[in-house]
Amino acid sequence: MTDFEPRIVAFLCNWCTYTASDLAGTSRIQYPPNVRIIRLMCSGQLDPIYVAKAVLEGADGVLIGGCHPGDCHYQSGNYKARRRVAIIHQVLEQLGFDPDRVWLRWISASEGQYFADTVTEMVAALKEKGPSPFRRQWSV
Amino acid sequence: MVGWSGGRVVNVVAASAAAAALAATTLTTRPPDHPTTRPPDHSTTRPPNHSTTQPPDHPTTIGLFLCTCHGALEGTLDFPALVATGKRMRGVAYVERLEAACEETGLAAIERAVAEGDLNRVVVAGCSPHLYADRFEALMARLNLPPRLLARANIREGAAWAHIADPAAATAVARGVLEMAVAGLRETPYHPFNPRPQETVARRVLVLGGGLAGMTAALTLADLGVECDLVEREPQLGGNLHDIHHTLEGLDTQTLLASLVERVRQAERVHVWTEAELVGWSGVRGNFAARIRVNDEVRSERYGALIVATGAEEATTTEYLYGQHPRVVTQRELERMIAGGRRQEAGGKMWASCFLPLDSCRSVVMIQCVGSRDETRPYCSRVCCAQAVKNALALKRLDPTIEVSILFRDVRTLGTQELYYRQARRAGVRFLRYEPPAKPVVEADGDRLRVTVHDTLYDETVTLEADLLALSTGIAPREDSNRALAAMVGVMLDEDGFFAEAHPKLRPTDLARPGIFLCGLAYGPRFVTESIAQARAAALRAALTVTRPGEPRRDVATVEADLCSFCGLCVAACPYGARVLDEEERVARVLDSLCQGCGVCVAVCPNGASRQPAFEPVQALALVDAALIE
Repeated sequence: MTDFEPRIVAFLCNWCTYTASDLAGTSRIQYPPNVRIIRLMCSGQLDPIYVAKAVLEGADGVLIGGCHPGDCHYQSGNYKARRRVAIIHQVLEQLGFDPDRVWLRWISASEGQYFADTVTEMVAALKEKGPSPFRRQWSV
Repeated sequence: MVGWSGGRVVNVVAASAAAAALAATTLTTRPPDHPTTRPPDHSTTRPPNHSTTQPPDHPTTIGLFLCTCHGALEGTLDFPALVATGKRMRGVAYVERLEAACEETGLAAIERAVAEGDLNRVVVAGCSPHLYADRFEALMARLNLPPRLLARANIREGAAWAHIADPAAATAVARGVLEMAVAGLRETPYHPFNPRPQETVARRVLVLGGGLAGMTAALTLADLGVECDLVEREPQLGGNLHDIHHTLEGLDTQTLLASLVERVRQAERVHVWTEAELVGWSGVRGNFAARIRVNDEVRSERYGALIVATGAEEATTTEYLYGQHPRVVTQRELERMIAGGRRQEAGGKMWASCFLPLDSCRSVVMIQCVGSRDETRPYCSRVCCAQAVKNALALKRLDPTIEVSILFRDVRTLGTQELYYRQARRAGVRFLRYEPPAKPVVEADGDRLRVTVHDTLYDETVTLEADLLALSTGIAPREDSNRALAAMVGVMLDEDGFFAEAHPKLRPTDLARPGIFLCGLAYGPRFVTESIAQARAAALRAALTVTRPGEPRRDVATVEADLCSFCGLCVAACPYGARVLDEEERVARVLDSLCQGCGVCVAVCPNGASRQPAFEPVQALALVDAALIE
């Protein structure tokens, strides 16, 4: 398990968290190369099916990043994302998938360091948990 | 019209420049098929999408352009390996390494490669999509490709820089980013799923106010081929122009008025509604809904733009025995007396004093700045000094022996009007300067008046016998109706109660809300010529709004009607009220102009009827797939 590199799919909102990831890059703040970023216009654009797809395809973790509560570029999209993620957690739990592999974080455009820290922290946590059970199933 | 016409404030200059540009364009001949010479229609359709020009079975050919950012990324990313990987990706027909994709040379290289290789999708791998978006969108427009078919792969901030310490990892991340961009683009259909019915712009303008500015704006619109409705509250057109008989420079404004009214009545594209009033206003630029009350009947109309030309009025006063003594009049009443007390036909306001015989007046005194430039009305009305000089000169022309004294605070005859001030002095008009709080004192002396003033220039108190006292009361906004109208259409008034322009120097004819324009006295005191210039400028702006609709936007949501179950979830989810249920068709609709493209409606739709052509769920799923490639 020591050489296990978790694979994370990140859905980041264009205005806050994606910009934070840009800022991390511009500031040369290093974070583990385990994350693949998908830019959404808003965290409220996140269809739960995207998360389901990522989980079923064997992602070890899913990170959803949005603007801080009250700061949504589209007024209330992040609240909608929060409700959706709560439901996603319930559904995943019922499927026997550890809901702690799906993280929702509020990361503003100025928080490049926090973005890098979140990825670092998530990679460490996922290494602890080991590969996704779905990955084991598919990669026989 | 621009040239040397005296010193002017910037907003007047800007408006006259627009009016001059307009005048210049109307001099050129227009071909018969020109939009402004075509017969008017009430709506205009936006140009079709680029997509209809390509056959539907066009194969996917992706051009992948890897930018080294002037070589800065070469130290971290293994470009030869990335190029090799790119060439193996499905759908990629062409790979090129560029020094700087965002610069002229890079953009030209992409343009050339797309043209030569018949590419129909473009991936630019380099910096964050937040940078240079406009350049690449412009490039796509030049390539005649919809902007949906451009993908930006962020291999700089997202890969090279974030993993600068580990080139191997950075290259691996960059490879993943490329895979995702290519996969997403591969899943992007060349045609949007369902060519949306294009939003229509109401090619019709509402002009509020049938005075000089309103009529000029309406006629200008008609000349530009735009239909307009001219709504006037009073029974007759003309407004304040009825009370102006000539300008200081000698322009016969009554002839102007008669010809304007005649031309407005004749103009095919101008529809005049008198004794009418705007009672309801909603919507956005290009698509406003108005309710107009005409003869106790409320009509609903659709407009693309609004011109506010509701005017202002001569201020009234209770100072200096006005309204108590028959020989105290305002400048405007004096002007009417000079013009022969000509009775105004229907609707003209009457003052008993208008019929005083002027020949009994041997001595006329005028007081400037009555009720203005004080705490209650701090602004200068701009026109009254010229008006006083004009009337004084007119009196002198009638009978050079009439004594005229003007009690002023500061003579503000603007620009070349100064010449008329000098002319008045030469004609024997006396100018006496007073300074508040020592205002002139007016007493009734039987049938006549006695005016006592402390002349600050001679430092002497002077008593004048007057047969007639004319007060320069200035121009006051129609505050109550202005406030009601501003609240209805959603714009601001300035501190004096006039309409506040969007920017005093740069946008002097625009109100703060897009699609609403301003001219004439509703904007503040101004001269006849300035009103005309500003009305033309406002009409030009309004005409551009309704004849040249904005570019189609790529991020607007849309509804696939066949799949919509009319559940209304998107209506509840939309934070902008851009979703409505069409009760007739039983389908949800998007109000394009309100949609901000956040995609919430796409995520909540249980049937997949809600779509964003720029970001389809299939693309997102393709991205997820690509992200997890080992």
